[in-house]
Amino acid sequence: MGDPLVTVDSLSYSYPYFGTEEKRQALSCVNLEIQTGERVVIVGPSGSGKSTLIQTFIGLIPHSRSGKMQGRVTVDGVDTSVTTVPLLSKTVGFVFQDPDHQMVTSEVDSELAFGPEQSGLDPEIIEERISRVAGMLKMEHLRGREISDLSWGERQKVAIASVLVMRPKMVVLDEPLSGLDMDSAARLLDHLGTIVKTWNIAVVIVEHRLDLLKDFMDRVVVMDDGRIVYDGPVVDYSAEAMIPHPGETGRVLHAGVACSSEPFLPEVCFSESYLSRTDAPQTHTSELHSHPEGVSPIIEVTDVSYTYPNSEKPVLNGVSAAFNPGEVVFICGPNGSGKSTFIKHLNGILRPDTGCVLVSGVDIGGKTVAENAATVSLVGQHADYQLFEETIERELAFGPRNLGMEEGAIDCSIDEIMELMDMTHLGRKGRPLKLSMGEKQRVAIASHLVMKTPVIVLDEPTLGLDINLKLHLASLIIDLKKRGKTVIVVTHDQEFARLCADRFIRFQEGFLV
Amino acid sequence: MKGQKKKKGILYIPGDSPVHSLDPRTKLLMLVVFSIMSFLTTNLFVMVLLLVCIVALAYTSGLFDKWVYSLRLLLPLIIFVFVMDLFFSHESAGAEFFSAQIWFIHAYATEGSLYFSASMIMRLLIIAGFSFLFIMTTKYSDFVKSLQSMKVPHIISFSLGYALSSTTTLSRDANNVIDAQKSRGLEFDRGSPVKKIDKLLSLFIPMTVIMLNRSNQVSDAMQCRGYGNAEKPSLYNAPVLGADDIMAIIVIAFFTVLIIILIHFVII
Repeated sequence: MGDPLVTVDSLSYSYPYFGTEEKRQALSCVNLEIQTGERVVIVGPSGSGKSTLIQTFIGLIPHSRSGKMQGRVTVDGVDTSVTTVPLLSKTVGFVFQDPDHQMVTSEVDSELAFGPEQSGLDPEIIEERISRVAGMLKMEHLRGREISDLSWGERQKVAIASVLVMRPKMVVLDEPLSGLDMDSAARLLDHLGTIVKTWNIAVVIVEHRLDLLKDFMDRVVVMDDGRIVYDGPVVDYSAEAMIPHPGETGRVLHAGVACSSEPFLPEVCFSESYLSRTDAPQTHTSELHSHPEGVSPIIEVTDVSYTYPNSEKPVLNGVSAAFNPGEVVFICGPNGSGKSTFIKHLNGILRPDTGCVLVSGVDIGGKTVAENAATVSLVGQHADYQLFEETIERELAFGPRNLGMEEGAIDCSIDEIMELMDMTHLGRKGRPLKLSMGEKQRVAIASHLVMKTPVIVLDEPTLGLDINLKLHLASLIIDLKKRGKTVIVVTHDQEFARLCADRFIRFQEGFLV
Repeated sequence: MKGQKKKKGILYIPGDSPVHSLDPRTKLLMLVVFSIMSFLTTNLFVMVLLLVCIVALAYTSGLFDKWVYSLRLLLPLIIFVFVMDLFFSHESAGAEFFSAQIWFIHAYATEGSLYFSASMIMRLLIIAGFSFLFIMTTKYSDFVKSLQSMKVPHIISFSLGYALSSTTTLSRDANNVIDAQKSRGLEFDRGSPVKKIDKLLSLFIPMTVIMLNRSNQVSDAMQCRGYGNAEKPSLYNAPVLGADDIMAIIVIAFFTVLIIILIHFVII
């Protein structure tokens, strides 16, 4: 096979400051080799060092991060510590998790041309490369458009294409499928597969959603606590290897999941095809308008339509739905089908063009979002937008104070919720913005739970969460249900939905189906 | 993304008029020529001639209404300039028709100062009017590209382009944070304007954090895309001067000569 493309030799890395002592070590003594044209998926729980490891491939570690690195990483025969990130970018294409964070221009064509331009290539060569990559990724229709007009999935495509036009020997993708529905993700992988096979590019993907990747990848690397705990071909990889810390899993598991009829294996079982699973939830849609006798729905949405001001096409087309107290409803559907738009109507962030939304029998049309917040609590996407205070304590008190709860009651409520969310170890004085993704997400959800609203709406709560955290979240949802709360969850994550949903609602192109 | 209100201010408005299709560099040249000529003279006739040209261009662009509307933004400035020049330009030519001693300030207006202030307003309208038209008919990414092709240092043109494009991202970030705060019971929709400004302060911490994070991420992303690899980056889709640009440049040249002749030989 010749020399490996990437050699990681007894690599250790520690962050300069990050909470307690044991958290400092992000990687300890990692050895890894990646061959030309190999396709590797790296899995492992949140905080196990996956992202840290892939950042060493392009030299962001050690060049852009201030932590301490020991050991050697060699890419294409060059030691990464003696070269620069821009030079490495000719060999390694790095795609960040959030496409928005890596767009450097405002238009698709100039975004794609950015890398080649920096290498000083001739415009004709750039044009040839762009049209080739755009053709193979089936994204010609995006060319010339403004990036701000594109959907999440389209931006993800642009981000991937923008590194492929550099003709790297390897592409590294950090959770490229998060935020994509099953079909889009499968299509994207299919197109990407064609390209990497044609050009013999090595691929390294960090991903939680293994099910989609099993046909695509050759090799699985499982990481836990800064170490590689499994490294081998996909075919030999068994589900048991995925659950790394039996002790830890037990710790985060609440009784709720154990009661759930569905074991938590579907996420990791390779034997089951994902198609059969996407079909499963649809069977529930017949229960769409189930009204148990004697219970009046807490939220009633009647014939709601909505069109965004700067577009022609309606996002919602006469949607009607009802949510009963104490039920867990999952809203699913492909990207851009109107799910997020729909839930923004539930607390009045968006107002319907036609139709109305009744909460506890009262039309919310005349109320402000803040007034609705007392009943319907909407936890938005991306925890970064949801957190705005300096300490966890103040973060959690923010909502209840706005609602005019008494300080004593707020205090009790914070204690209770921190206990419930298993976040007492973060401390009341902890800084929300210094936490990891999963922890931030938990703080964000907690900040809504302290408001003690009867309805909780979660928008894509599993983005960036590993299986342990998802299980914990699922048990939490079941717990909330037991307390009589209505929980409405928007997600692409079918496995997650199966853990705790009472019923499913499916959106397709603005219609409820 | 959001339920945005109607946009205010001067923005690029897409179109396919001859003015739109001119190269940004040609339009920049026109802006420079018009500005210089308006400074060469205080003669009202020449000024009106220049302004008529700009109005004609605005009419051709198909955005005449919006252009006139945008000029309303200038109204306070026009009034200010008019008053200041009328009373304090100390132009003593012509008959004095107003004179007053206000505390220690002596204000007086003459026919000469009236003429002067009128021509100052014309100058303002010419420069601002064409600048607005320029902004409304030029995509800023094209403008940035033409800066690049005009040998403006890459770091300047790139920074300018990025700053312009990130305004969209920042407003989206701000909207997301406001939505999140509303959802946690912070009242944004009701209350006096003073109170609202107070509420906007609650955006300060999250927006600072988001901006700092984003600048780190973007600098990483730029490095990962090879920023700085070549001494002089190449330029894809470089703007090309078309036949209409060459026509426009010839017309401008003739026009310039005409105006200079007018100023120097005919009017004096």
